[in-house]
Amino acid sequence: MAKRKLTNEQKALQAWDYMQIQNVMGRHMYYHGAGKHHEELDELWAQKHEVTWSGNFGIQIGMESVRYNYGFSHDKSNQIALERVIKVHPEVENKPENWGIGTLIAHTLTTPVIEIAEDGETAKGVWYSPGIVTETGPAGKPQPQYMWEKYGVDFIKEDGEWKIWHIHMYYDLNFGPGEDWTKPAPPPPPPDPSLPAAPPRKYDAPATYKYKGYSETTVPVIKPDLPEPYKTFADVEPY
Amino acid sequence: MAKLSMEERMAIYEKKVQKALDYAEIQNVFALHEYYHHAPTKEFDMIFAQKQPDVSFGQNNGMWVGRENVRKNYVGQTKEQLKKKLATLRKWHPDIPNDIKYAASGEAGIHMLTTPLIEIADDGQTAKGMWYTPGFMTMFNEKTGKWNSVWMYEKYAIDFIKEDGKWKIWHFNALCDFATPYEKSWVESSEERRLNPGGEFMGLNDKRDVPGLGTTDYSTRRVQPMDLPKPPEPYRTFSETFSYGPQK
Repeated sequence: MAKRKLTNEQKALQAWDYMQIQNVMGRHMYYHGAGKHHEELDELWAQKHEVTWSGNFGIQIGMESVRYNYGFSHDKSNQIALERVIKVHPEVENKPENWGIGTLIAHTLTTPVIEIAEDGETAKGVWYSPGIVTETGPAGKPQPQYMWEKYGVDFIKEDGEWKIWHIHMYYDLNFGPGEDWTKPAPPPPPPDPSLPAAPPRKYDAPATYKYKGYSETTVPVIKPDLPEPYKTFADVEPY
Repeated sequence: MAKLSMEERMAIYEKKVQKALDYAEIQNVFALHEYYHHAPTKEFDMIFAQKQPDVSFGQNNGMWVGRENVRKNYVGQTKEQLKKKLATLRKWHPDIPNDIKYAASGEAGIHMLTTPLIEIADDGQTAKGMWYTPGFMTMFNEKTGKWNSVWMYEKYAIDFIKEDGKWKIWHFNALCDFATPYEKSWVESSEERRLNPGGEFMGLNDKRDVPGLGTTDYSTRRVQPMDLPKPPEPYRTFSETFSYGPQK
């Protein structure tokens, strides 16, 4: 592990920055859990630097792309999900206030490893996230899932405030209550052909790394790469 | 912009360092709540505010307010109540020793602290924190003679206050998103309760001193709220922010 020498001033600022970064990620979780993705993108994400969202399916590059997928596509999915719910529960009203009805999402943040650059301008953090996701399935019923995943996140300072810059997701487990996660997941219920399908996500580049989640043949690896102390962002690889 | 003097820079760093220290201490105080959860008397005297008349303990169905009410209801049970509890337990399981310290045999619970969001007031006298807490509880069921295992996912919304230089829990809220037997999904459990209302649920049906923050547990009819509870925002002094305590 790299060693470094920090001045007392730098140590004081890093302690402060650690706290602010934990708060930014905490806010991300609470916004995401409430489906307030547009607000989250406006308040917590970098506006002056190119943001990215990465995973096994590819990379979304730039705010327009991230907002299309995380914001507008998510809104559309909520609209469609509401129509599916109404088919099963006709007493539910079709209005935007009911988007997200019956959902419960909590991607908790545990086990942080956070390194702030010596120049104080960027930071890198990883978290383990044992979470729950309850979203409306193709048949209009809520589908409860446990989702255990890891976050690798780069942060950048804009106007003195920490902002999310690059997020990379690494998915370990996705299983329903009562299911054995070591066994392959059962097939999902068939979709109702009379209802529209959710819009597919769009990616601007292929994945730089395909993380293999749990299976009987998966060998555990340390991914995302754990942050190490660093001087400035040019010295490290982005998430 | 004029360069700040060394004194001015030190003053800024001092404030930031103090807040960072406060952040660490608050994390520790609240972690103590978890580790002492099963010794609530000790916890209440050690880390709850002792000098605030509106110290409170809240859940979805309301809050207990004031030291005596919180002590009576959260801290628990009198010797007589424990003896009665033990007697019921031993009717089902006579091998359990006839000693009051076994009244809580088989009870367990862990509420982990994740996703912290903590803001310390600029005046350093109060702080607000939210955490997400996945956990479990195991409790004895007097009707079946067995212990129930339940997954519980909740949010904490807490006001802290400094008393004699130490951070204390002032307004406490544990706001249940769901509690479900381990063998059922939270959707299944919540649908059972929605379609058969009126049953007992995790002790969250009892009457409290004042209403809670307006939160409810998971339902297929609920739109997950952003502002229940409202996440903390940076603030200067407590009078300028909202309270997680009894609502005016």
